[in-house]
Amino acid sequence: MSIEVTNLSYTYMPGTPYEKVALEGIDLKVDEGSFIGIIGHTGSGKSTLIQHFNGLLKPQRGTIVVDGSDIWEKGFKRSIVRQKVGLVFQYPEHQLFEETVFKDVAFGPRNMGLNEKEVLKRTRSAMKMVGLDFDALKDTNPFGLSGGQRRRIAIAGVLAMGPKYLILDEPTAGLDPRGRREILNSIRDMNRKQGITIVLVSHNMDEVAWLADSIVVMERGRISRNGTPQQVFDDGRYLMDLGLALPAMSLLMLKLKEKGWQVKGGVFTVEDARKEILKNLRCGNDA
Amino acid sequence: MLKDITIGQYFPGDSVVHRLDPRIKIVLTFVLIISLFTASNFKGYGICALFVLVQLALSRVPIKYIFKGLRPLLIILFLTIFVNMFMVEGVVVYSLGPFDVTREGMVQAGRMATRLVFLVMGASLLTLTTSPIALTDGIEKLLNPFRRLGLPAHELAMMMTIALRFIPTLLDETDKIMKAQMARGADFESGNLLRRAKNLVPLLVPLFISAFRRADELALAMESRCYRGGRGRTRLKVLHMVGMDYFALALGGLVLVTTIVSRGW
Repeated sequence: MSIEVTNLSYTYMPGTPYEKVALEGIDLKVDEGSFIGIIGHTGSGKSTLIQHFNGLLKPQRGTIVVDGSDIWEKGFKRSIVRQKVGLVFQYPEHQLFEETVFKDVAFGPRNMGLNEKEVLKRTRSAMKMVGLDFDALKDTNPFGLSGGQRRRIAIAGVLAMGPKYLILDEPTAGLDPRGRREILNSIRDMNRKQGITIVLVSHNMDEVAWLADSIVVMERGRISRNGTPQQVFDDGRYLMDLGLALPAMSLLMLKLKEKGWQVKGGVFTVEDARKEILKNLRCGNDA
Repeated sequence: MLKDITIGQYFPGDSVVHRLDPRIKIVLTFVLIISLFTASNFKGYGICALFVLVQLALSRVPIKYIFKGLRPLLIILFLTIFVNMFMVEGVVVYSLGPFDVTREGMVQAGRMATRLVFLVMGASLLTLTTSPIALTDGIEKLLNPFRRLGLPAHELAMMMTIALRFIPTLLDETDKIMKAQMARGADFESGNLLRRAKNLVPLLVPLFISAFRRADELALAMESRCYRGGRGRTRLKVLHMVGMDYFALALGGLVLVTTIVSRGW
């Protein structure tokens, strides 16, 4: 089972002076259980792409197949796709609207038409998944809570629908280091423990390198690289020229390589970096 | 979806009409309105039509944009023609059951239709060739003389500028919140009126919160840059009348005079 994107193209406001090509011939497969990172410059088409995954945008060309069925085929119920593929937008806390945390998280499951017992169960487990104390918070007003907490409530609101695939657009933007770490840990657990497929859009390369099994690089509406973090960060120069950052250790390796050292680029943990450097020193290649 | 709405419908370009001083364009639009309503025969309308069509040709705005502006008018236009054709008394040309179509009625209908079409065309040309910011600048300048009568010209213009500036932002925001709630199974498209109104709550609450937040931030940002209204404020881009503007103004005057004179032809 997977999400399969084939030859997808999308243009904003076609036929006007404001026309903007957002996607051009995208082919991508998101396998169930995987953790994919999408990186790319602002305006490279990441957000447009992920809005196709759950049928919020209709492809102008190409197809989106979720678990074997084309979601834009006639008669296909797109509400099912929205349950299967959860989408967390940037700054999701801006979409909270209910007076209590419980009501807000329960919005999704209630829209699905579940009974109150099931709604309660899902809400409780979704809040647990993002590390929120259900009993302490369920009756509080979300607008009085901290930014990090509000964001986790918003993510719980999507999780409560029980998605198989969860897509997150920069879930850590604007959070302090602690809030960042907590959210990333929850996301990792959802993938490793619950088996939820994750697609993470991020500008933070250390996050992506740490979490993702594979990384997709987008450039001007196309996928320019697609591979394991090792493969993608191996060509650090390319990413730097695109205006993207590198994980700290990959950057170090790139700098050393450009000074003539024989090191691999696709290294992003301190431990691996240490090994690479020691290997070089032993070989006597010291520059 | 919401992104496809063009607000203010400005069509960027660099034609003679685009470069005209916005004040002149506003004045010319008024000239057109007055001319259209003073003209009493088809010669007069011909002059007004020529005036609009020349502007249109010079502006190089694709004709389909003008038609787009006319589309909402269709119903009103149809109604006007219909009512005039049947209701005006005079020489009966054709009878349709209890209704009589009169010659005078047909002339009147044609007259009203011409007025409406060229009125809307002229007004759309103004907004198509003038950016919203230039437009408010022009309005502020034109209202300036009334300041002595207590009209807060600058404040009005600033309010318009801010409103116009934030329409696309709020539309973007609406689009985003709508999609986010749709991703949570919200339904904005089906159900009866009451149901639909209720379904808007998850959209309106976040939208209002964000609008207030933005207003607050904007006020702070303006104050921290020492904004205190229009007094003593200078501009980066000062409007200057050049030869072309005077020429256009003279042309407008000519159109106005000829249409008035044409009443006697």
